[in-house]
Amino acid sequence: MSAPLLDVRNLRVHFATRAGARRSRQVVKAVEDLSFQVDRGETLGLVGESGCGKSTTGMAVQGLVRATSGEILLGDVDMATLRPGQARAARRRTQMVFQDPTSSLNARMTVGRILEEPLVVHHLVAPRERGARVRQLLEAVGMPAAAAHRYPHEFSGGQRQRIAIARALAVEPELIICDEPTAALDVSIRAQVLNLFRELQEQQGLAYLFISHDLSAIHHVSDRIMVMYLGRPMELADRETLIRRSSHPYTNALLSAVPVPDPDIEKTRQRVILSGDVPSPVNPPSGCVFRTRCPLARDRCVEEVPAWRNLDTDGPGHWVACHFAEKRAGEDLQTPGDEGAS
Amino acid sequence: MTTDSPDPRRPVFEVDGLEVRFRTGEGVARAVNGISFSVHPGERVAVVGESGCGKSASLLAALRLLPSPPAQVAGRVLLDGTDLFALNARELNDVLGRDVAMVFQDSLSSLNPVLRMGRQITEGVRRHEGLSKKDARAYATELLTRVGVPDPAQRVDQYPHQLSGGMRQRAMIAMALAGKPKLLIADEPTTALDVTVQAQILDLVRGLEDVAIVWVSHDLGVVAGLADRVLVMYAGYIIEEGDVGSVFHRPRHPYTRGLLNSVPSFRDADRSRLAAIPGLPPTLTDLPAGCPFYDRCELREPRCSAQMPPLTTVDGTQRAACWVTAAPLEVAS
Repeated sequence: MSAPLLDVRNLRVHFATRAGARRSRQVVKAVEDLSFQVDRGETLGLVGESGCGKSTTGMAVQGLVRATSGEILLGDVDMATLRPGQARAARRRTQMVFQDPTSSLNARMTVGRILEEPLVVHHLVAPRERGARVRQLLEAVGMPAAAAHRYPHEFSGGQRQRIAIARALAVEPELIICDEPTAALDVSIRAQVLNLFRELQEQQGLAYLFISHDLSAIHHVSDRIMVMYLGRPMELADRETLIRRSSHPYTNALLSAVPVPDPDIEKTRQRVILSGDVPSPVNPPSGCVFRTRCPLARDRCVEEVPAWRNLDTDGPGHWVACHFAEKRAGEDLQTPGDEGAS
Repeated sequence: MTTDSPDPRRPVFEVDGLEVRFRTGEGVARAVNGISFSVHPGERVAVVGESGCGKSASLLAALRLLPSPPAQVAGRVLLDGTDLFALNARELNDVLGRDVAMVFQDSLSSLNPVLRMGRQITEGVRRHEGLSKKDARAYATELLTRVGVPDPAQRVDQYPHQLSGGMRQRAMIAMALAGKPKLLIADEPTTALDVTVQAQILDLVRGLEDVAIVWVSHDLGVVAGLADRVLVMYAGYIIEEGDVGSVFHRPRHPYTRGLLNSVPSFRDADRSRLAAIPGLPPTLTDLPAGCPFYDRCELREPRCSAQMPPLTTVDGTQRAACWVTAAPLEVAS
């Protein structure tokens, strides 16, 4: 097997904060012992709720936050310990697309200048050929060449996100980290942008780290999906295994909570309603971090952190962090798309 | 408070020919273009559509909550038979405070940060029913218990920032229910919440009885699980209306079908393309004379650009505003 494009090993990202009335020093463990790989041309979906560490993971891979420990290997370069001299060339290999294109595009630059800037910074295209490259980038994301002379505010949210994607493509990255790229878009526009991501992947062999809270969008775009909770990985499997044979109670609860646009399914489906809210990452529960909301929690979950282990060592891999995953692995669980399906 | 049981056939909320215009720098924005609908006692009606379709503006305007100017509102709105547009400010306050409750997306900005939860929850009922302080606190605790806030006896004395987002939204619903309203209007109340917390709130709302609900949402999944009837809005028009099963399984308007097909489904085994709707919605300051969906519609005919189709009955209680679709449209997934 060939080496993965991105190999993240035991990543930890901790932030020091001062919180509470006494402003006492506290450590937020935003990401705690996370390992995963992304292959060339593959999409890995990262899904979870607020505070699960999915965005921090993306930013650590891009080098926008410092890893506290662990390795972020892109080929043979460790992004976690880059020296300033190496950083520029290495970071060209990954790019990021954010949720809000209005704040990630400079309002005072024309679209043409926005797209030229990375070409200039990385010395990629001769000055006289930049115009042609900008037109090519716009065409790749389905925008007219005339857009180059206009400003971001003249475009709709979906068009702005296309421009942000074109900018990410400008440096010909191998991996694009997409952090909630469709969360701010309307349903019909979201579908257009999801289709665009897919077309670009087919044409250019891009890999994506696709971060979202929206499990149905994640399922649509991803080859494999990793579920995170409170900074820790809960489950990682290929898209169908995760949806149809999930072995973690949190994945089941997430699946059960996703509303499905079919009234017949919604009326008859069995729901796992979790109680309470996600605990604070400053003071996470002992043992399994999910235990305070887990319908299956026992004494062991309080005392012992469940091991992150592979249930499917022969196949494509099915990683879980639950003490009772082996017991549940054989069960076929209900998935939202199947119940009462017509 | 009225003790006689309401006539189930008489709508609790009737909107007739509602129009909302905004004067803007680019001209007059036609935000809502003569919509009519009614809500019966105990019924849950969802209003769905994308940004700028007029779903929030129409409800705010109907309750006279849009400042005018810049908004110009026309039409007729009856709340349990009372014409809201004919009331003076004090009468309107009395009627809205007693019979209508609203829950918005952002609970933090809807709550007063310097008032304890108990006081905010019962502020309305104390004013309208003259509850004593002690009784009000007990009532607030009871309401918080009913909406599933843990440790209600402590929470009732806390401030909004001490509650989590999900708890605040529960408290908003408690506040909404405090006056035993006839109509609850909820504008994207779960959009800012995590899905597992959204599931808790939806479960709570599904359990509410004796209150008619108008639920504004862009999320078709939420609507499918909650509504009895659904109104689909586009560019300030209701373009389709019907019971939720008919509209989701047999949509008659190409826009409704397009929306449903745009949502990724867990049933897609392969990563097929989504059937996205091409193009963008029209600008509200420059709406076409004909159907506003014309430019994006795959079924368009010449007559569609000439005249806006009226909302006509297509099947039982289902109505659609389309010249072309006489037969039900198929949903892909």
